[in-house]
Amino acid sequence: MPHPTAASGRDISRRNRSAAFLEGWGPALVFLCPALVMLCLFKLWPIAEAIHTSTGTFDPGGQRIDTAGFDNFGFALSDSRFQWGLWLSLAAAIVKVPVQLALGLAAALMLRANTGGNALVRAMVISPMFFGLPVTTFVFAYLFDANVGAINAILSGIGLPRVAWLSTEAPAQLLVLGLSVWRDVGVTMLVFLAGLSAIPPQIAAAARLDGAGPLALFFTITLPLLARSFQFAVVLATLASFQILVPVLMLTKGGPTGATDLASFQIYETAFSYFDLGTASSMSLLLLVGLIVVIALELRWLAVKWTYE
Amino acid sequence: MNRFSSLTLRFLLAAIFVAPILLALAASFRDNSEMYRHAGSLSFWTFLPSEPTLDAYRRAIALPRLPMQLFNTVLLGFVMATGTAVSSLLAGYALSRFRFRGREALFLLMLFTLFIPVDVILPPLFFVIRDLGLIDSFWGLALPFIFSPVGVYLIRQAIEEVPRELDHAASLDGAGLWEVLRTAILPNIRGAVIACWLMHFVFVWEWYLWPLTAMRRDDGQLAQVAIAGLIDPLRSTDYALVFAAAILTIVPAFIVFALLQRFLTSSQATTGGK
Repeated sequence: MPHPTAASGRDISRRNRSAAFLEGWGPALVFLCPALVMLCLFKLWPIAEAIHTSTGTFDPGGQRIDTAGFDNFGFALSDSRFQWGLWLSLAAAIVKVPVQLALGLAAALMLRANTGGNALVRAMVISPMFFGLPVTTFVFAYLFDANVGAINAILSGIGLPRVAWLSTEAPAQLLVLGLSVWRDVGVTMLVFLAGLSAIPPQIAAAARLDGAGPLALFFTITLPLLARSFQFAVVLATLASFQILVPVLMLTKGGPTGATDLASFQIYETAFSYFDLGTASSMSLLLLVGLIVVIALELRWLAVKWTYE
Repeated sequence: MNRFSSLTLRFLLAAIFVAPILLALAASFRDNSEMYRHAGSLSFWTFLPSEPTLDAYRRAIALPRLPMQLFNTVLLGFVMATGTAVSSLLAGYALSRFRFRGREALFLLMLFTLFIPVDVILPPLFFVIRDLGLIDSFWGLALPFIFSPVGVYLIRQAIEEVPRELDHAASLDGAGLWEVLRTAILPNIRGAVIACWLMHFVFVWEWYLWPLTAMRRDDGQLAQVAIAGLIDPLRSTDYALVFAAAILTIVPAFIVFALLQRFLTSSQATTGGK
């Protein structure tokens, strides 16, 4: 049964290559048009713009005054502050991803059974997502406030010293990362819950018949069969670990003494406080390439070859 | 004993995620001097208002620009959600049902843009919007995010589930491409379209970086960004006011979500026409 647009382009392609290259685009273009225009204007153009601006020098008014070649990249990479920023961004991923995966997996295993109580707890675990990042940042600012915060009240109540969360280095880092994990752990849990529900129950039953205990069952059956969910959850968490600029911008401003001076925060400052557009664009590109390299490595290490069929 | 400990664990887990939110809710009913008075020592009143008051809500409503800014957030939500749903529906239809060279490559390119976080690409995106003359305008906020790879993915997957026989039958009856989409496909993917719409509507409440950068007029700003300006982390913040205003801000999102969420599950039942 021929579909109106599914005309075969086989025999045409032998006769006219360029026409065949555009085969079928006519009607498709009408429908693709809005998405394609937006994709080109706001996803691809910014990258092209970044490449273009990164090779120039600008006066503070934003006018291009000179061509700089790769000088901006050299300048950014040799700047010890930006090196520290890149390292911090990577460290954020190195801490956030395993912690979030462990907690998300634990929550998924615990709330795996489909009971009403579990559904309620699951809803609560994902609830921070509904409030939006700005509001959850307000909540954490209050919770960890040095004077009126509940955390400090509890600490002093049980006899521990109060902590100046935003003006001490390690606590400020803990606060920013903790907010990020707290907010995103629900997503990881959902990914693992979907993975767990896809495991055929016969496999676990067979292993149990063979005498596998709960630990052996987890490490030899459940964990390997969750490999695909693992891969997905790791990539999602890594992406999110590169998006923790909001609490930094709102609360810590990169401080104290550079403890939260993430690469993305430096990009923001370089562009919108120092108006050094060339350097900011080259920093953007460097961080973007870094992110893509990290994700490509993860996809490679966690590649899954088997299927259930 | 085992049952008791598993219940306790579940309760603790739920508390970790809900307690901070409840604490913020409680703070909105407090008076600042009362909050600071009880802050020094640990007691019941460290967490809960000893004299509940609506004063903070009164002050939040009286903030001169908040109603306008809240309107901006809600309007932006409607515009972005609708724009994303429409562009995703059309693109998903083309990417699922049409055959053209480079279709898979185009779909992969769209998905690939997921790996470009706003945090990283903020300055160049700002330059693009500046070149288009849209800085400080409503459309400068909305347009860059009307295309969504997640939306396209969601809708395309949903259309893939619709049996092709349905659109063949419709086109045999003389339906054009638009009628096929309208009569054969759309009724069967209503759930996915509403999910896409709702997801991107709620997504506006996530926003901070882009409006902070691209909107510098106070009356054009979004409510959540303006409220963030009330927080002064290193000095004393008027938390009661912050949370009263924040709660007023998220109420519209909750109302819309509550109204639409029943469509998310019920639509699955109507796709059973296989």
